[in-house]
Amino acid sequence: MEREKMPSEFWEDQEWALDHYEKWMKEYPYHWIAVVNKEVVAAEKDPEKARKVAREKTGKRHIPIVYIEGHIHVY
Amino acid sequence: MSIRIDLYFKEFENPDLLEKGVVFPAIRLFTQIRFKTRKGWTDAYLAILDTGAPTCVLPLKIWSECDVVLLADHTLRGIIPKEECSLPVLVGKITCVLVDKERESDELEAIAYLAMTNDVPILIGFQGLLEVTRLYMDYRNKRAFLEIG
Repeated sequence: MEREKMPSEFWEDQEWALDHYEKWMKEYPYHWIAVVNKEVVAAEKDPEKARKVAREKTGKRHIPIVYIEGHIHVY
Repeated sequence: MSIRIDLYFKEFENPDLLEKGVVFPAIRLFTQIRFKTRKGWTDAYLAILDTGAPTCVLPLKIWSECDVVLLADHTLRGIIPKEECSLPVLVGKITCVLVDKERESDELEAIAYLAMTNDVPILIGFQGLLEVTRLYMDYRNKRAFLEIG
């Protein structure tokens, strides 16, 4: 099955989410955030729900979903 | 022919230690991964590259979308050797590709720990993935990549 390419905005939004990770640790600890156009559009405990909410809000298909830790863990 | 997948260093402030006047960055190495699902492929997820992990760990709502072959149930144990700190998981075979902005690996099969909770990050461990790559890591120059193939 062919893999669909993600658009450049997807990678930019994912990078932006990672760049601001400390901020999200304070605001959305142990949540999955969805980022569109350099804005957190959903934060949920369930990654699929975060994607669904973000898609409903933005109409975008490819949305980075990023897990935010609340503390620095050693796995 | 081998393919090179870029990895990303991320430095975090450790707010818990910062409050106590101890300042040093927590450094993580991230990769990106797509999973084969029953309908196609997921978009790319950020994942922690963990050379201390024998296998990958996937959160519930991510692996439950995947095309997965379940093999067994199991208990995942972490740094604290107490029963209450263990995590029930399923063990299953997944198909994935490691990716960066420009490149994707060939399909890789890995046996992964499939968590029963969404409260875990995606961890990339050895089985099926790191064991078939060459890891280059140069934190001082902020350069890291996996070579596959």
